[in-house]
Amino acid sequence: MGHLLQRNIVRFITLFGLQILIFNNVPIFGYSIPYVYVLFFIMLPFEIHKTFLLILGFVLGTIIDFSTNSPGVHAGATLLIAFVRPYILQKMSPRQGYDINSQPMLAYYGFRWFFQYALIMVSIHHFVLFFYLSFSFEESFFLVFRAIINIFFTMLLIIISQYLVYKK
Amino acid sequence: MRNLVIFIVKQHVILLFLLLQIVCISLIVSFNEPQKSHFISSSNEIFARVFSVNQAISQYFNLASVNEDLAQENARLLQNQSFSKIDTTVIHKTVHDTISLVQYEYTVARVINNSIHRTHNYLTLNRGRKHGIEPNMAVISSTGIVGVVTNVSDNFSTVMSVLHAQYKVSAKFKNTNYFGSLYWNGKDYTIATLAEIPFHVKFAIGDTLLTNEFSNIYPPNIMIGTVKSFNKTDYDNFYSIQVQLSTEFKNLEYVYVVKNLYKQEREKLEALQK
Repeated sequence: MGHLLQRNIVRFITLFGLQILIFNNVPIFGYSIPYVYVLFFIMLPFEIHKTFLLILGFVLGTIIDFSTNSPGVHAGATLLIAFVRPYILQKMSPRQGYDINSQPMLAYYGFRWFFQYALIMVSIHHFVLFFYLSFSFEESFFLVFRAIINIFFTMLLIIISQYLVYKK
Repeated sequence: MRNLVIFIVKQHVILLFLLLQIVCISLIVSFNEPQKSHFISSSNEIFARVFSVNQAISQYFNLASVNEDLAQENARLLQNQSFSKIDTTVIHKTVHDTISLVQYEYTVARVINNSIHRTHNYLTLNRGRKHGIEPNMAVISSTGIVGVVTNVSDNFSTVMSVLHAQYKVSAKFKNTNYFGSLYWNGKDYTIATLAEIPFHVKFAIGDTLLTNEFSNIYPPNIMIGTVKSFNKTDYDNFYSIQVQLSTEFKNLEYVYVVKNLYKQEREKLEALQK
């Protein structure tokens, strides 16, 4: 358990550090800012408590909001994925349930399962995020387009990270 | 009462979710009032320090172009010095009381965080309340306007950039003095739109646009940009003019925060009309 906590703290520092210091400042093709920090929520342990997960979603989203001058925007989006995550995992559960010692990673459950799971999480996060961002901005088509491009790059980085870093 | 407690305990996850979501939405809504100061912003001390380190590393890569800009500005300032000009006046006894004539004071600040790819772009500067920065001060660079200060902490300040969906600034043509309202269209960080210029105004592509004093924020005659293209719309009587911004927001490093020493006097006077 202590081992798992340690790994999640390291993952938190790495992903949020990368997000705030690098990805927020270096848009791909001048347009897309991949929100790789979503991976932290994707890879949290299966058995994490729902209430704790919600608080985590709100607090960590607020940390990103601090760095991008967007009060409530990221917090709202991460809060929503923190809320729906248990239901998604329940729906996507394999027939015999999740192994006790496993984590929601590509290395344990294969490409197909992980890709679907990550895509659902990232899409919900991005669409809510861009919806909130658009509150004062009327060009909705443009934002939908940006959201889709963003989902693509975030997913690309998440899948690459699974092959490079998180081996079994 | 008992049933209520049982309900809350049973449904606490959903209730907590709804409560926090309402907090988020109210934060977003209050954020849409642009001139209000926000607790969650990058002028927050901790985040500003992180950005400051980050910027300290990356600024070395831009030194060449910054030097060039500064050299050019030095040349321009030298040109304006009295010794660079031919003195053709005959009376030599004029007293130049420079102190009482100064209207605008400039503070140099370094940009420690900058964004151009969002729809609401902000900059963070390494100067704050301690250095005399206050909200609503104008920020300019050596090449043009940058934005207006929104939040101030002890050592840092955040600036709403011209590249902000809610930002508007009054702009005038250099040669004719006709003025309109300039705002960013949210897409290209080099282009802004100038509205409210009626059809009878004559101008050409390449004409220069400058600030005027209407806002009581910017000093007059600061460069904004040049006319890139324009078109007539069918549904109203105004041109839609695309303006090439003169400030290069992408590699902005040093800016000047402008303090208007006569601001309060003018505001007091103008408030009498309301």
